[in-house]
Amino acid sequence: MKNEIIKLLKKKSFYIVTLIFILFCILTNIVYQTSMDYVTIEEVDIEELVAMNEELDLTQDEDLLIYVENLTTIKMEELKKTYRSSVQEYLVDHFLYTPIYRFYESMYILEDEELTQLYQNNLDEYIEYVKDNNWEYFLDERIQYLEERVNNTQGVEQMRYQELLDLAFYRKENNVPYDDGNYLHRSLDFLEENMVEYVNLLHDDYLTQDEEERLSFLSEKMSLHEYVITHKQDILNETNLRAVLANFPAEFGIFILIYVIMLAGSIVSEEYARGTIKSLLVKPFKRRTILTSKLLVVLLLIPFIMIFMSVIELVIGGIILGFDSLSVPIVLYQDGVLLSYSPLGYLACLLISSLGIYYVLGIFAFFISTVTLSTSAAITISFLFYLLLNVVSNLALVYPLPVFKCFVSLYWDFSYLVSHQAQPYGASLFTSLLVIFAYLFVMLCITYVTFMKKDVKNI
Amino acid sequence: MEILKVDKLCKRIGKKEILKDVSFQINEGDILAFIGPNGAGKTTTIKCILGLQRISSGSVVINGYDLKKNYVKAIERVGSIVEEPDAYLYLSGMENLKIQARMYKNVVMDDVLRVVELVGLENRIHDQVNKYSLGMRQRLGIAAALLNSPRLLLLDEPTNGLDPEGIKDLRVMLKRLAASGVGILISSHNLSELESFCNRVCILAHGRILEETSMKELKEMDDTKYILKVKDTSLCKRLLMDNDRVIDEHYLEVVRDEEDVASFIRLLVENHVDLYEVKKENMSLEEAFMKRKDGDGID
Repeated sequence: MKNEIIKLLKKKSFYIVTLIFILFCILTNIVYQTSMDYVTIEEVDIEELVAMNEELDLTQDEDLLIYVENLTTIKMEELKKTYRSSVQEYLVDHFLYTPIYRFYESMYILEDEELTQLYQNNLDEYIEYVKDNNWEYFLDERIQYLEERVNNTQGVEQMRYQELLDLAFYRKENNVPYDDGNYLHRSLDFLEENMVEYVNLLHDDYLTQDEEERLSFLSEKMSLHEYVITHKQDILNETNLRAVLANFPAEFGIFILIYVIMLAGSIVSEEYARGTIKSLLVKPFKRRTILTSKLLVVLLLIPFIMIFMSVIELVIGGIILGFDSLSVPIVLYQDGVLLSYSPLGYLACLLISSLGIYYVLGIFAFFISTVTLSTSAAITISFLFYLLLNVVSNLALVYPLPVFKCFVSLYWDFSYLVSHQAQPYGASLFTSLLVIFAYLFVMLCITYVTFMKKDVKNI
Repeated sequence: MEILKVDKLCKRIGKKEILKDVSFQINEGDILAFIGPNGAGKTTTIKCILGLQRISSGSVVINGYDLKKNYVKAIERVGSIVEEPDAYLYLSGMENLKIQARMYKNVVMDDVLRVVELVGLENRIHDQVNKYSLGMRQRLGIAAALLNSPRLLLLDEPTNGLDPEGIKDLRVMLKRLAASGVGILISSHNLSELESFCNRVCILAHGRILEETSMKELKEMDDTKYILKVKDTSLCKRLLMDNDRVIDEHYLEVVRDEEDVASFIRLLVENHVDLYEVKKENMSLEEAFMKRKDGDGID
């Protein structure tokens, strides 16, 4: 046993893959660090609007409306260029449209000088607030407005306003500015923007297919954002170590696969290729014992590699992205229920749930390695086997032919248990385990029989 | 005491008979030269004795344990080098030996140091094996074979790659081991190397034992070679037999036993050939072997 481990650890290929893995790890973490939520903001072309306004016939009512609207947009853009902080931009976007529009409306449509003067003063006042970053003022106004709406409406409408009012109160109590850099603001903003649609859909008894889908999409997103504001935990941040860890098995699974197949696929055949099998077999042990010790190494190797890789990622990710985010849980939404895991616990669960895949593939590589005595065959065939099985799994989702049920790849992934989903192919846990063990058993039987009978050929 | 007994060993692969009724034995202190041309089955025999290849029929008994029935016990006190000296090239010589030592119950660090010293690898033992020359790898292989203080040593062409110094060391070492009661089997195609220190010989060809005898007997086989110096060899040509030959105008080589050489000399004198000198030459092991093969009509 100890010998086998030493032999594996001293191999060059092990270090090469590890080096590549570490580089990959560093790059991934840097990518995570620099990735932003790229929200594509539509650039407003001011010049185009100005040109458009010049061509309008202001004697026509319709054109006049467009004219005023364009002027409003141009003014807002100008303000945003002057006041560039995230809070100011938000305030201009969300609170200044009406005052500006009113001002131009009174000037060009109503042509009421008195009113224009009043609105001009109003607008100047607002702009002053924006300039001072005085978002609390706007919030108070919004609360006043919403309270008034709650008192004067009924039914679903009232409910909508009540929800929005609650959010506004939350913002005031927790002193959350309109700042995109603040995760609480981001969640509040999402909730505020989608609340009306959500409440409407929720109270609509006759939903179309599209609306149903939209509702379930909104339910998931809203639940997660609500979690953020109730628990004050930044669970939606995708640029920290926690997020890297949550995606770790998906992104680094290929490395686990490479390690497992490379090491399990060479552990027997390498000895034959180098001739060292002779000195191994003439030791006072039964052949069975020798093969079993190699098998045990493969079995232990798989969890060891997972831990080894996770630790490397944890250290590298921690250095690049910082460790603070580990205190924030990972929250999943499933059928109206929120599941919360600690990041490391979640990672562990995902890795454990994927053990089936790696055990089947590892033992497969071990089996091919022993039967063919060729490392390259073992590694190549194992990868092809993995690709084939993935294709089969995908086909099985589309065409549920009975023949697909014989393939282990329909059963070997247990990650659905972590997210509390249904087994994708409808198999029970017991059936899944049974199929996996049957596969392992058959492969091991053939491996043992072959190894026991194999002659060491003359060179 | 009998250490190895091979009895009617047969090995078939498919329909091809690789070994047929191979029987021989090695006693305490024996050094058996295992001789045969390429493809005779030397390596296969050794592999069968070590359990590396399965025996089709017949039996191998080592230290009183039947190989088939009690493999672990039988193999416990056997040391071997088969074909190339195999080592994990990416490990150092020392690590290789430690790995091997760990697989025996009673072998400790002292044993490792002892065998390293025995084969004279102290200076290079911590280097990676892929930096070793063939001769050094051979020494490492011998060290590994000696780790478990074997009672039976099976060496498949151990002189490959060794320099003359190395061969001499090996010879001394094997003699000492034999003197302490170890039974040794050495196969080699370089027969002259074995002549000087093996006490028994086993000749193998086409999977069969042609001869199993003591070295002394082999050397003293009836046929002995004589070199004769005469005044003019052309006069003797009609008197020669099949195995004899003319070396040049003065020298003749004849193969006769003592009785026959006397009558041959008489014949020369009767035929008025002037005889200056008669010299007896022992045939080398190699020549005896080649002659034996020819006699059996096998190439």
